[in-house]
Amino acid sequence: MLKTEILAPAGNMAKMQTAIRYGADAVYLAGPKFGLRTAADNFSSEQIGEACAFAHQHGAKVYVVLNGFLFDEDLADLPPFLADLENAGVDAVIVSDLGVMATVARHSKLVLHLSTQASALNTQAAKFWRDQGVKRLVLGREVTIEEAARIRHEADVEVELFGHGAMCMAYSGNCTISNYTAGRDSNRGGCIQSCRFKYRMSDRRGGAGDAGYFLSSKDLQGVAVVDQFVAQSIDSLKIEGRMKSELYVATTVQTYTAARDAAWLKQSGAPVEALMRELNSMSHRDYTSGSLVQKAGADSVYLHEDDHLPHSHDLMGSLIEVTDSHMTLFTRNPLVRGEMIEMLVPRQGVVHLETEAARDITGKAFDRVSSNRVILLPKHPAAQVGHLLRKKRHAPNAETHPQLSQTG
Amino acid sequence: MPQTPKLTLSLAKPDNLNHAIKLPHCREILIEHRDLARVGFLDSEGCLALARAAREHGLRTVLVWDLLVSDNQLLAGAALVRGLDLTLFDAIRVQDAGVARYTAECFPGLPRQLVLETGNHNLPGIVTWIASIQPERVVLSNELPMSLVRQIRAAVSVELEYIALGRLLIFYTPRKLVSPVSTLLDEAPETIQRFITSEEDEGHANKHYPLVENQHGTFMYYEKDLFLVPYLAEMADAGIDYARLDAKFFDDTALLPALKAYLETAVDENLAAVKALLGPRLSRGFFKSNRTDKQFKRLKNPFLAVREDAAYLGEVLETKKKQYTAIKSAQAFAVGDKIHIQNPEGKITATTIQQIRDSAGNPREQAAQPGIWVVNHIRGASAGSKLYLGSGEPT
Repeated sequence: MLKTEILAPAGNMAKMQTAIRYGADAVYLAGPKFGLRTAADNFSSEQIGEACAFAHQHGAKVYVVLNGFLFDEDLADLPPFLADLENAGVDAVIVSDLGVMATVARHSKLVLHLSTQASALNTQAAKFWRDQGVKRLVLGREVTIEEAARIRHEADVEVELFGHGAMCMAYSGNCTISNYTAGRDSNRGGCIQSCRFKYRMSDRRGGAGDAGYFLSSKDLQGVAVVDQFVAQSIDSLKIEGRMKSELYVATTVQTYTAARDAAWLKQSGAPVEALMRELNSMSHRDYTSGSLVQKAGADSVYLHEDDHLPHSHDLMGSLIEVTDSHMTLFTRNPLVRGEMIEMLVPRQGVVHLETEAARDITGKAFDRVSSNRVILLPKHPAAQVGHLLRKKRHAPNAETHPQLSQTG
Repeated sequence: MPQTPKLTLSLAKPDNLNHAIKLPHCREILIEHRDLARVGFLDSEGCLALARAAREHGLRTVLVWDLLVSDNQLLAGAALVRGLDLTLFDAIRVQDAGVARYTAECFPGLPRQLVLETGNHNLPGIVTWIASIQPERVVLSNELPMSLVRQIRAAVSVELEYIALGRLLIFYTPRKLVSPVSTLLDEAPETIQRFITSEEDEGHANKHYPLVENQHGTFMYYEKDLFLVPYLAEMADAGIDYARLDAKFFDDTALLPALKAYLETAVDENLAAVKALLGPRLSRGFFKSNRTDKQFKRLKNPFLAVREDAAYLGEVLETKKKQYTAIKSAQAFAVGDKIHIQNPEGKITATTIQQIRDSAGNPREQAAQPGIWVVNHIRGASAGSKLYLGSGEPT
């Protein structure tokens, strides 16, 4: 048994700090190039140094993705960046291309993790990559927890599995729809998400037929099997979503950390249903357990039937300042004075807050503020800069984790 | 006749070997077992029969095992391969790194052809694959233009292969995507073929993508068939040893004779006859160039990024016209400091800090540390604008 690492996405500095504040053991992020999310904010070399300092100060690790399939001309820019990463103190780089791997090995002593983009699916592949110097494999999403454990044991290599988030329908790295249809290399950061499009299917070219989202996958959600990650000694549980919001990062990290801790402490009756409700509080596609337990079947296709309840909460904002007298909130959604809001306190849960006494930045009372406004709230003793606040939507799925909830 | 690569063929029907052997430069047949190849139509008996027949005509034979596999599937595939008379095959074609390693270890006498069609666009990677797996041949990615193929040719000595005709595989999943939703099926055939058309915008209305589902999952192909047969000489000149003609999705009874006629006499009439037997739209793929990273710089607003050529002061959080600007500062500043802002549209405006208050409303002469501050209204500023110390004029 092993205390599985909870690995969170960090699309920018704020999300990185959020992930670590809410309990992530490690984060993965990208520099300005070489990754697969060109449209994300990403990090400069200097920011990666700051991220490492912040993470290490909090006992967390930083992995940098270099998982594009690169051309020779791309590789030419890589060695100086590798030097920056070494200087920053990153804990590993995540690579999918053997040429990138060879370049990393030649120009640095950086620890290598194999990206899921390489679609490593079996023990022999694990041994191949291990022999190339890889310390950890991010296995293909088609691998079950049980298979991953066997691969770990037989290949004597660390293994990481995706536990939550959006999924490619294709074997990762084996989709080039964007390359051909949009002139954007999906394996160098230009994916246009063609698998999420609506298509008409016919038995002949251009014929009539039903339309649907035939290529779209439901979102992976593995909170119910986190105990198996721990029991099978899976080294790391990865949460997808560098493009997703801070609220997503905080909620998923807090939820999966709680599930992992319960499993690690062998607590019986881990509150799985309550944790699932937390995950349902965010906007998401229908969930599937993917291939974590058994190979993903027809029910893993997201046909937009939306048989889940609408998400229960919206992001209210984050605390950008806490003084002796008040806390300063930057709103991300409108707020009507008097609405109850919830503060997510790392490792403690949800604190409910009144907003009757809220003021705008000039100290004046307001009836309603829009998004992207600075407002002042009376200080709560648990408040710290970076804490996220959310509010219930007027939707039926509004119940939250009772064990994580308290009134402040 | 101009220089031409040797041809390796995948057939739709084994009976059409008779046509293949008449094709100029045809040297090799790819034998695709339904349980080993991504899309194969032959059982073991059919594979062995085709291999024997090809051998009798002096052709090389290659057993294709190009699936991506789990441990259990690898074991099943290995058992199947062991059950075949491997003396009938000149090589085995693999793509999965695990299958490649396994076949190198367990069938050392059977040369390997390594498919590097997924990524593998740089020389250090290709060289490392070759050193690790020691294949007799690598199948290069069709995303590599010939200019890069030349560089690879100059650096490696193994045989190089490039697809010259066939459908372009652009999506491969182990999940079945057709049968669960198809209303057209009254039974479940081994291989289901459909076309899908994007409904996202009218520009895609005439683009129909072939979709194939079988026991191994679902395969999507580009709406245009790759057709590089007129460029075989250029391919050979770049150093390609084998050009692959993947005829398995076409009427190869007609296609192979048409190709023969064109390869023997490269005239427009013969070229048109070949094209007529392919899909209605044809492509050269990335044979000439690959510029699929050129749009990347347009994916993000550069004005939202912090400039490296100026001293970053902070970011605008909120403004109220003629009243105030709330900012989140990253460093100290003071009343009287000259600053400039760059808004999300890129417009730069210079101004001077005239007043500072903290978030509790207390006036300050300086903001001594990073934090939330309220300053005088800054014209042209909007949420997200970046602030920099200095006037913004070149020094």
